Order: sequence, then C-alpha cells, then structure tokens
Amino acid sequence: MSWNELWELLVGTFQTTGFPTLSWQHIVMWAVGCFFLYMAIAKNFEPLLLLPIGFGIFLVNFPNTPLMGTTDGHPQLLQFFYKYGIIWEVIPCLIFLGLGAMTDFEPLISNPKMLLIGAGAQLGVFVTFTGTILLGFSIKEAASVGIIGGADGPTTIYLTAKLAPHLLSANALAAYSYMSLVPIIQAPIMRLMTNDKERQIKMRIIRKISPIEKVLFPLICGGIIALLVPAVMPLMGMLMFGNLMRVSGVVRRLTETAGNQLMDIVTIFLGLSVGASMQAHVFLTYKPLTVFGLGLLDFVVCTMGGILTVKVINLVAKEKINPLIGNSGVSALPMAPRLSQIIGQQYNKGNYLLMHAMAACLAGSIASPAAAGMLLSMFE
Amino acid sequence: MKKMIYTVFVSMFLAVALSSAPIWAQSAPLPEKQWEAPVMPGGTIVKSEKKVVYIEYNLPYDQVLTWYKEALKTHRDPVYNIEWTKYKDRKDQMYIEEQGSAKWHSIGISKNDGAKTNVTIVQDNWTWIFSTLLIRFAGVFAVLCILWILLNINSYVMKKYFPRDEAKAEAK
Repeated sequence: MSWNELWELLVGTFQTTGFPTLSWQHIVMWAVGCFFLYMAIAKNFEPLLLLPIGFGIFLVNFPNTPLMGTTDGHPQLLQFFYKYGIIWEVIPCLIFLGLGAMTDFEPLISNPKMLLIGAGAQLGVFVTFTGTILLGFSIKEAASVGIIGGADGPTTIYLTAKLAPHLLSANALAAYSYMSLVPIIQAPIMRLMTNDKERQIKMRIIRKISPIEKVLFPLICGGIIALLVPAVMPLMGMLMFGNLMRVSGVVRRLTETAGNQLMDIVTIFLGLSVGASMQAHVFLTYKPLTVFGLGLLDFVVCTMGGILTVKVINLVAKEKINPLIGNSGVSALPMAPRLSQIIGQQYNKGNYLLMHAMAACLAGSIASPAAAGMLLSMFE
Repeated sequence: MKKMIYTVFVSMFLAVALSSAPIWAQSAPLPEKQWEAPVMPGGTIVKSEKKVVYIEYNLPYDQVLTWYKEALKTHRDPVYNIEWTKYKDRKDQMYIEEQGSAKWHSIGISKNDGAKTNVTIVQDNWTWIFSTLLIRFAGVFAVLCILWILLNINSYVMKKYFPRDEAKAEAK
C-alpha cells in the first residue's frame, strides 16, 4: 500500500465520522439536551419525560447519525417512532388511554359546576393565539402555540402534530416545562388575584357518587364531545375508554396495563421522539425559541382565567367557591391541585381544597381537548 | 364671488368623490398582487373598498379557478412545506382562505353559469380573528355547560330512581 493510498484511506475514514460536519449549532443542542437531563436527574423536574427528551436531543444532534432520517426510503429508528407515534397521532391518544385508566373523575361528577372553571382557564389559549399572530406566526402555528397554556402535554402534541409539526418539540417542551413550574408560576398569581377573605372560603365536602354514575360519566362525556367537537375524539375517546375500563371494574388487568405498563412504554417513545425532533436546524430558529416566551404568557393568562371564572361564579352562586382552586383549571395534574391545597392551608388550617381543586383540574383535562377541537375546526 | 363659490363646490365634490370608500374604477389597471394575493390578469376591477376588491373576468369559473390554484401552489411554508391555503367548496363560490401570515384573508371565486366570473379578494382583518376566537372560546364554555347540565340531570335521576345506590355510596 502506497502512502497516497494510506492517506486516502485515512481521509475517507475521517469523512465517515461526525467531525467534518460538526457545527456550533450541534454543540448548542448538546448543551440544551444536557440541561434537560440535569433538570430531570439532579432537580427531579418531570424526570419521566425530561430524561428521554433530553437524551433524544443529545442523540440526534450528532452529524451522520442514522436516527432521524431515512435509509433506502425507510425511516430510521427515531424517525420511525416519531413518524408512526407522533405524526400519526398514536402516542398522544395512548397517553390519554392510560390517563383515563388512572383517573378517578368522582370529584368532578359530584361537583360538575367545576367544569366552568376548566372552560374559563382556556382563556390564555385564545389570548396567546392573538399575540402569536402579532409576532408574525401563521394561523396554524398560532393555534398550536395557544394550546400550551392548557398545560396538557398530549393535547399540545396532538394539535401541533396536525397543524405545525415543526414546532412540535418547542411546544411539547414548553407545555411540560411549565407544568413542572406550576408552583413558581401560579403561586404569585393566585396570591395577587385573591384577598384574605376569599382565600378562607370553606367549601362543602364532596358528596359520594354511586358506581352507576361513574359508569355513565364516560358515556355522557364521550357522547357530548363526539357530537359537539368530533375533531378531538381520538383523544377524548381514548380518555373515556380508559376511564370506563377503570370504573366498570370488570377488566382490572386491562386497566392496570393501560395505566402502568402501556403508559410507561408510550412515555419512553414519546420522550425520545419529541427530543429527536429537536434537531439544531429546526430548533435554533426564532420561532421555536419565541414559543417558550409565548407559552409562559399563555400559562399565566390561563391561570388568571381560571381564578377570574371562580370570581364570576361567586357573584351569582349561593355557595361560594374558593378562588384558590381557579389555578387548577389548567390540567396540570397533580401539581396545580396540590398548590391550591398548600396555599389554602396557609390561610386556613381547616380548609381542605384538594378534592375541589382536583375537580377543577379534571374539568381542565376535558376543556383543553375541547379547546383544541375548536381550534382544529378552524382548519377543517 | 360666484366663480369662487363654484370652484369651492366643485373641489369639495371632487374631494368627496375621490376619497369615498367604494371607488368605482372600472378603467383602473389590475395590479399583479392585492394585499400579497395573486391577481389574475385580464379582469376589471368592478368595485374597490378599503378591505375588499371585486374583480370581474369574462372567463368561465373553471378557468379562473385553475389559474388561482396554479398561482397559489407556491403559497406554502418554504421551510416546512406546510400549506397556507384552504379551499372551501361552497354552493355559490370557491372560498380560498389564507392560513399563513399574508396580508390577504380570502379569495372568493363565484360559481356563475355564464362566461363571467367574479373574484372577491378580502384583506386580512382583526375582526375575523377576534370574532372567530371569541366564538370558539364561547364554544368551549357551551360544550362544558351542556356536559354540566347533563351531569346534573344524571345525578337527579340517580338520586330519585336509584336511592339505594346513592345510600350505599354515602355509607362507603
């Protein structure tokens, strides 16, 4: 072998490594990935999601890695998860199936008035929509960014995958990040918008409901959503199916699988796929970065919307509602209700708001897909 | 004096006529674009308002539609290839809605039987955005209010016709 041949061989080998095409954008994305890993591992912030997301970001931001492209027309590994899981809308719906199997709607069924708080908390979705358009986003992008405020990860992913897939990673990350920052974002707003008298309002103990009512709930709720907002039935249908399995009590094994093993499997694919969609050339542009700012505004207005709705209800209702549960209208389970309980107890030790706040939160988990359905219907 | 009054009246009339909202400008040349929307050549502006332009073509509907479809083919996100137009086939017209961030809101192509086709180009407007958002926000309330009412009815029926179940639940 001549020196020339040896040199060419070395150069050829070097060309197959990642070094020749490595850019500063890749390095920035490694830092972003490592930041999410740090938040998950060291700070325990939503580790179930932020860990796979962080590692997904880290993995795909190396040049020449056969992960998010296609080989001979076939999707590569992470592209496969992303395409069939997210773009085909399978994963968000399976997450909703698991959520349904894990959720007890009793607090909401026994106090259906709370549904209005869930609706009021969608205010931010529509306010942010307007702000997003002002910043030069398209209408489809604005709709997908708006839904972040509902703090409903699967709904955000579902809507974004349909309307603006290029914002998927930014939207999903913003939704999950703000969800984990509930105590930091919501607590000052709750204190600011309520007075001492309102914070001490005691709420009646929730009535127990019969098993038949529990079984009827997924049928009634599913039926109403199917009739009024059919666009969002893949999500709501799965949520209600999961819940029916739970409350029927006759398919215990299926319920456990949907709520545990299936949920875990789907979460792995969801996290990795979302992370993998954050490639440097897609993420390091002004739009995904602006989404984080808009998402925060959205979350703040949604929280305010929930509290304002309680105040409006209190103007006409005989039985007053503690406005501290208004923040739970966004569907950030279980952080938002827990925060209502903690702040409520700071002002009145005998005040137990948790179950009422849970009801508002469950209402949010129905209102958020309903809002997504309303936005989707704009484009159909 | 008479001359002066006459001149003032004539100039006032001209000022009002030229600045009034609907401008009847049959002979006005067609621009290539109106609020960034493509304009098919060969037509006549029948009426032009602040936010709407009406153009008439001596061509059949299909021909005008084909031209607009071709012209709007490239109206999509250049990076992510997302379509920015939505075609809504209505009874009386083909309604093309802009879903990107251009300055036009819609192009309506009337479905006339004859050889004439009217095209209406509407400028993007906040009235539409605000009203559609308001309706949708109210829609979320409406959906949840209906659910609330039905859950209340359900609870009433359960209490009245299945009191045993209720009592059992309370005992638990």
